[in-house]
Amino acid sequence: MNLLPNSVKKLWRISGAATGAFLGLIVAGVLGAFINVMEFPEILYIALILPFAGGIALGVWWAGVKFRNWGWQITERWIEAKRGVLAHHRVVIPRNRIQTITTNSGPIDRMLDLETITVHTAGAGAPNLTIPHLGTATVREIRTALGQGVND
Amino acid sequence: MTDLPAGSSPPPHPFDQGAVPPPATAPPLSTPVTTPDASSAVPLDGPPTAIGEVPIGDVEWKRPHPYTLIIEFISSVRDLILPIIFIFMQGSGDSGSVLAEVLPMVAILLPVGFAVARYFTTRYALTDEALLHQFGVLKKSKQVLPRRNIQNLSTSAGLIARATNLVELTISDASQGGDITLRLLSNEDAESLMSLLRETSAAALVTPESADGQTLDGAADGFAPPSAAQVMDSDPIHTLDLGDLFKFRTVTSGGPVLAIVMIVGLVIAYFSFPDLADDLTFSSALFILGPLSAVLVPLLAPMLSLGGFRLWSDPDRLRIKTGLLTEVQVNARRERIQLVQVDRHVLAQRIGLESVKFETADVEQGGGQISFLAPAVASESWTTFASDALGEVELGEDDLQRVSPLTQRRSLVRFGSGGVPLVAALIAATIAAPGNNGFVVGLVSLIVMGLYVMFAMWFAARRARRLGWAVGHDQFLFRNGVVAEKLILVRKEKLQVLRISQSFFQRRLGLATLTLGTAGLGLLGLVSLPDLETETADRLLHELAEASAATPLARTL
Repeated sequence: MNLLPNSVKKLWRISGAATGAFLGLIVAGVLGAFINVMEFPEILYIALILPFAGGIALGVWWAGVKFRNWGWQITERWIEAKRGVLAHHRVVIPRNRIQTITTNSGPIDRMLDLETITVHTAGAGAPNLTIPHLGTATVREIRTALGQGVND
Repeated sequence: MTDLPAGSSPPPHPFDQGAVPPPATAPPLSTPVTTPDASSAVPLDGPPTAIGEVPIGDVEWKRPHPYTLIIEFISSVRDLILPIIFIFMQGSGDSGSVLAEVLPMVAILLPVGFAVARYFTTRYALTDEALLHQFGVLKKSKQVLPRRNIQNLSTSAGLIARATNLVELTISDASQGGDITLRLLSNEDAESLMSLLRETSAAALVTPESADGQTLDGAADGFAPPSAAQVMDSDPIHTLDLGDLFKFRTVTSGGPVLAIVMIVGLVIAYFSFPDLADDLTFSSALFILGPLSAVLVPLLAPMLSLGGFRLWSDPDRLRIKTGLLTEVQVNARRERIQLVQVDRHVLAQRIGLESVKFETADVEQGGGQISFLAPAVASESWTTFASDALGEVELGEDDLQRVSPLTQRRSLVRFGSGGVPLVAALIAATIAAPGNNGFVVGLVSLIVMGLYVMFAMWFAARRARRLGWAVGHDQFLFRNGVVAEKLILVRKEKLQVLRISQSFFQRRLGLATLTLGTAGLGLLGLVSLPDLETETADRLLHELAEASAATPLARTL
């Protein structure tokens, strides 16, 4: 299985840390209000750093595991991707079932020269296969390999 | 296998260099994969390529039947109801003025004008290559549906249409939103148009990909399938017994269970909060009306849509007519059918009834009554209908292998965690009940909890006994569900996408859920089989993916 580019690990760690910090702040706020209402000793406010720091650590760890578990490959007959931290998912789409391939990239993706590629099949009820944050050149190769990059 | 390095520029893909030849049956990788449904319906000012793909010869435009004006008038009144009410109110405010004389006329003429404009801006034409449809007063639209892309033809007729012997004809492709709906045509025009479209789309089935000596339903031999009228003049192969449907819906609609739950809930609420009950004038009518409506609505609604259900089968298609008020006609080509699903409710099994459904690649036909192949038929008769839809059925329920027995344990754990809020609510209700009422509420709560435990044990044991799968040469059969059991037969070649999922708890038990996607859009389009052993799920995924990859796309839609 191919891994995602290393730059994705950094990107996900930064966003994981930011998300963890935000959630940690909410938990710390709730705990702070509890300490205040219950009139516990003020020294306990120092402990509020724990959910904040824990949230950041959890976010960074989660991003690392998420990166390690992401994988994709194109075989002779199908394209396959696997992902997941707690729940694991693996999607296989036979190459001759591909209807459309779309790519998109946000501002940060464009700064890092990354693109997200999505493979669609017939039937809107079927799950698509999405590989996030691949290098632009890799995306072009995939499109060509899957027969949809002729006009790139 | 291709291993592109992560990150920066990868080496050229082996397939581009021809290092690994593509499978013999797959389309060439150097050309875009054909998407027959793409751009089948485009706006008038859309990209020129969409229309340019379909060479259009001489066009002879036609208009809908003049009676369409009546339908358009009703639609216009409905669409313009707010402006009409506003104009009437303005006019009635000053009875002596000229405005009061003019505005009611405007209110009447507005929908009439709109209806006339709609009628005269709507036209359709059938060329050698495509069906064209133009419509719209303010926003003009043009639809181009290549004849080779046609998946399904269906007609429907409401009360007014039936009174005037007209039908609404819907021509569908495999895309979402690509349908063309022609309203209203005379029966003769609709029949003639359907006949022409059917011949072309049948011939289109003999594509280069299917020209390997096989002809599909003899289309290449110039075989002209019988028209819908010819087929429907004969006796149907299945006619729904309304009494059976009534019995079936009585036990499967969930109404009786909902009614019992509501009655128990009202009893507990009545005894736990008698003051609140008095405030709300807790009358005996509340005990009757709530459960009664919960039973009657889901019971009677399908009677209208499925009443008069008849099924015909000809060499090319399955044809269905259904509906007591609005009659819907469906013509589903067999090659387009993705899967057949048998719905077996545990209570319906007691009265010996089940329902058989099917799904085509026409994404607009995902839900509703049109997916029924045979509603409320005798149990175990599904193979007859499945063979009508999918050809010879090569697997039976005796072939099914059970999923992992660990599914029973998993089910019990889920019931255990799901029961926590129920127990908490019952305890709270018992504590909140004043005086002697606490005894009554506590007793009812104990009974409810006992029933919950018994149901959980029955459910888990039955789940382990009933979930199963079987693989044949061309077909895959599996059974899922416990109370509302589903038996699904799918052609391997119809599979579009395959997925394995493992929740955190499934991974600890070495289990996985296999999900299969076909080109259908509706609820049946995506079907899952939970709690397979991981190795079994992997093996099935590979086997089914291989079978799917070996079939050209054109034969899978």
